[in-house]
Amino acid sequence: MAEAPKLETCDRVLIVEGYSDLLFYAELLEALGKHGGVFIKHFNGRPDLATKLETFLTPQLLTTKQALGVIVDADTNPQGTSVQLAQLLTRLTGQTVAAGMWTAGKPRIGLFVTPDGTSAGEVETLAWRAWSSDPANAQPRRCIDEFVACMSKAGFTARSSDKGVVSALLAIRNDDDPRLGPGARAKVFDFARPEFSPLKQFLSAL
Amino acid sequence: MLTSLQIKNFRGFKTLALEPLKRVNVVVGQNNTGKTGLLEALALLLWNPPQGLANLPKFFRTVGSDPNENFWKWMCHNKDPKNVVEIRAKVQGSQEFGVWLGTRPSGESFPPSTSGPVAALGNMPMFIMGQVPSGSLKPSIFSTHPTNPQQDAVDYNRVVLRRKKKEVESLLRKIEPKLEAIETLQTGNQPLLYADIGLSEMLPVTQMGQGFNRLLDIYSELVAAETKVLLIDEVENGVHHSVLPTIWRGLLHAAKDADVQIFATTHSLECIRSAHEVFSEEPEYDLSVIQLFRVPEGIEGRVLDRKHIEAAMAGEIELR
Repeated sequence: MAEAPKLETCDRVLIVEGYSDLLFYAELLEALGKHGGVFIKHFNGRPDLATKLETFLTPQLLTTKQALGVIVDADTNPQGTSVQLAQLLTRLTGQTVAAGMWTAGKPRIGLFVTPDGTSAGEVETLAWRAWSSDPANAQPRRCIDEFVACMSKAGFTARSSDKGVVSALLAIRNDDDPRLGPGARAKVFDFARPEFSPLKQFLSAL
Repeated sequence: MLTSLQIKNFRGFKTLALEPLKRVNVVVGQNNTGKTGLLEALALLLWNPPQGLANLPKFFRTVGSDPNENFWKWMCHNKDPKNVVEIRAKVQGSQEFGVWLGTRPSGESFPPSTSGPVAALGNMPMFIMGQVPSGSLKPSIFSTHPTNPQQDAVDYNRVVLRRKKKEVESLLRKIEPKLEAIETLQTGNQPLLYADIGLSEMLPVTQMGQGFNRLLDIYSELVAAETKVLLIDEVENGVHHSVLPTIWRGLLHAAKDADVQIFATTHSLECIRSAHEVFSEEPEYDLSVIQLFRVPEGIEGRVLDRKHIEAAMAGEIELR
């Protein structure tokens, strides 16, 4: 088993929300051939993200790394999330940070708000879009749609509809752990799908 | 209690500003980031009388036989005597005060409070600036050097004299439950401390663990000395991680009772975590973590408050 990357020895850092995200982005970076030299830091979830960033982005980190990328979910407010995080990163790094872009550095600072920088949702939204629009998945997609509709009629809906459908898919395709990251590890998602292109483009610049 | 500290041109520090300081300040950083240097800066600022600072090289370090070569000439940032050392602090409800080492440039807005230097350290004149707060702020030093058992026994007499013996024993019982009493006995030429742990004969405390001896020293100083500042290098030294919360609880309560401020360095995440847990139980969260970092320009530092320490714990962010 390969040794996990260490923060001290990697010259690029990608910051994500939770452990499942870490696994997902590790797979995506691997698919891009970019995983070497990248340390992925997860914050155990979204709460207090700004304070966690303030704590994590130390003067030492900002003077020793080549690139620092941050990827977070838009949730219900893509515009607000983008602006707030861009302002925070601008304050913390002294560079003008904008969502979807990389600064010139040093270090280069990048911010990407999933699913695509403009829509509400999460990285699961992107994964679902990619998987469900693949003609090869048309039949199982109908099964999930029917399941979700049936649950809805019974009075049960997911807090996040995209997380709900991805979990429903992965409950069958990767029943050991039906979260996005482990699902990506199990190769359920095809990163060659065009829906992933903006995210891949962002990560290619890391 | 110091509420802020500013250091200029001292050892690896070009400029360092730390605020707000708390009752207990845990100093962290990788090797060679100036943790011990920060304690030395505080000793330089607070030691009274300043002539005693001739021993500063030995407070925390082993400097060999030539302190000039191995310590004093490294005092000024980048080893350049033109970099005048300046250390300032503010105390709650009091004005700023400080010390200055070296040749003062003319027109300085913060004038010395004495007409001439109060000491000469490594050929550098030392000046005091501003109004030094009333009451002794002379610090007590706890380095990683082994202690002197005879001196420990003499020091413990102060604990007995001030009727604090039971208090120290009670604190130590938390890490050595069999402890019944600690006594100063003179069985040979010199007095020594002995521990009653229920054996047929009392045991010299030098036979107890390193952690026990260190805590005996620290607790004794906290409850019986007139010091108002403790400077502890590597506070976790010799202590098993499982008793760290107990130790922090003891340190915190004793420090509050005696109105003592603590600056303690550590390399241990468990030490920071246990301090955070203990202080979180208190009505007032009186803990800060001072992080020091080596950057290309020298050393930088910052003070983390409760919100950021909690975020670090929740997000598994490295603090050391």
